[in-house]
Amino acid sequence: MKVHFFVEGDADKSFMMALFPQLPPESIDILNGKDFNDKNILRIKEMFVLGKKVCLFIDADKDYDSRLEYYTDKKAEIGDYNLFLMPDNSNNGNLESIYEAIAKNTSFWTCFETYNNCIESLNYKRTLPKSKVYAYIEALRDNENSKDLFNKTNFPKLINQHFDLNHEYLKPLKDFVNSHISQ
Amino acid sequence: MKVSDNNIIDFKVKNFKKFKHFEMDNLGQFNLIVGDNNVGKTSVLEALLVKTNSNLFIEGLLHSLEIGRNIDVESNQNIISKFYVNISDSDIINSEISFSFNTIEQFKEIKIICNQNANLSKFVISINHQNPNIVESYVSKNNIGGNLMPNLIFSSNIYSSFSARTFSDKIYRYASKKDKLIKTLKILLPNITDLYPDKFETSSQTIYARQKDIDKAIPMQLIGEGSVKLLNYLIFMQFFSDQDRIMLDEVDNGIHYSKMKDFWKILLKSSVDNQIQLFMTTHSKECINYYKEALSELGEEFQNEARIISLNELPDKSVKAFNYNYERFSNELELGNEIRGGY
Repeated sequence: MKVHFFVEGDADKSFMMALFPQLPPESIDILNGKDFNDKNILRIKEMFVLGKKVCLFIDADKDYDSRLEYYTDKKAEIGDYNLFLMPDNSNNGNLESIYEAIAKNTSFWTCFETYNNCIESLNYKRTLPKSKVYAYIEALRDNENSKDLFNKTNFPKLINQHFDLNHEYLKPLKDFVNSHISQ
Repeated sequence: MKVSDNNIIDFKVKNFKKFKHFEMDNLGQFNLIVGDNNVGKTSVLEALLVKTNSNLFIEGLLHSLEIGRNIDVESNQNIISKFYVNISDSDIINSEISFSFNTIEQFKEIKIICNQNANLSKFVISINHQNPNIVESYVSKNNIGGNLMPNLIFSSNIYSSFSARTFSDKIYRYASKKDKLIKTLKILLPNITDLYPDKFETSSQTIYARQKDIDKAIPMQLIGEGSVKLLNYLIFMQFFSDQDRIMLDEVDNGIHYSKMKDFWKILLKSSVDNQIQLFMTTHSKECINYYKEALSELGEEFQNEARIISLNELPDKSVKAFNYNYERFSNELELGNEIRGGY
């Protein structure tokens, strides 16, 4: 049975393509956020009509339990999709939590923490988890990679280069995906 | 925007080509059909040749076999069997192909039933479920008339002399029509100043073009495939004006990407001007993206009539049409999601 994957955004798709290069890009759809709407519900239902298995990857963020409850309840309306809550299907967190855990140069995070604290001290309430990953890659990049760093072709290569894709932290995610694509 | 009452809103076909059963609904004025190779895109266009005039319908089907599929109709005994799904020549007697569709005003159903002689077919035509009208028609090479042109246009027959004859007969003689055609063509070919046929009316074979600062007129074919294609589409639209629909196979073949958005805008506007519903196929993502861009510039009235019909093969080999309206296909394309099927 073929599998179709749904992720929240571009960054998630790039990460999945880096981690699972065997997946065809067209088998990964972007939901554009974590909320269901008429359009993405219809798209998921179409995948069921095609006889595909559907896997959904959503950030658990700050409340794993409520996120799990919401997406489990929605199955009654949409169909029996398989859910993986990032980062590890058991804890709060998101894609950025994965990046932080598997970075090859963890000392960078200290620099970014200082920068983030400074931003917050200026009363900008925002935290910058996504910028953190981009800044990490930007800081470590080779000169020759200066153009279009985060496009669909380069980003997965840079993820491969600067993150440990064999890290133990990725085991739950890899096990989940592999269990579905091998069936 | 006024659309024709003849526009098909939904369409069903049974036992035709690879379709045991196939349906499309919520159709618009502009319908771009996408899908993997061999999923049946061109077969859908062929099914849409359906007409209550059985001779014209047969003629269209035979023309599609000869021109679109390169099948020699004359050397094939059981021609009509080519249109049946999974049925051997010996089994097609009394089996039926059916086409049914709703327009704004009417429901129509047309059935082809093969008689003992596989080339002698009975047509059963019902309109609004009333009084089935039975017509018998002999299917042969003779059904292909020399001067008639089916409303399904293949990329391979775009250079047909039909367009030269139509231009000479129906456009060249009317100054306002000719001027309008040249003005439209100038959007893609700004140097065109005049068009004229090599001979008049039915004997015409070629359309000649005059260009700014060039003394010698040249045949349109020499100007370029994309330009000829657009010219021919505009002529076809004129010819089929106010008649049902027109089907364009591989609509974007030969059109350079830099001209694709203008090509779409001209085609869609012409479809509205001539009150013709469009059914088109493409494989190209670029073509789909420019379709969206053209529609975003043409505005809401056009967008409301635009569809992308994605054909997908299910595990049981049947084909399912997913219908994307403008809002939906714009959203999927902007997100980079694949809507052409085959995944």
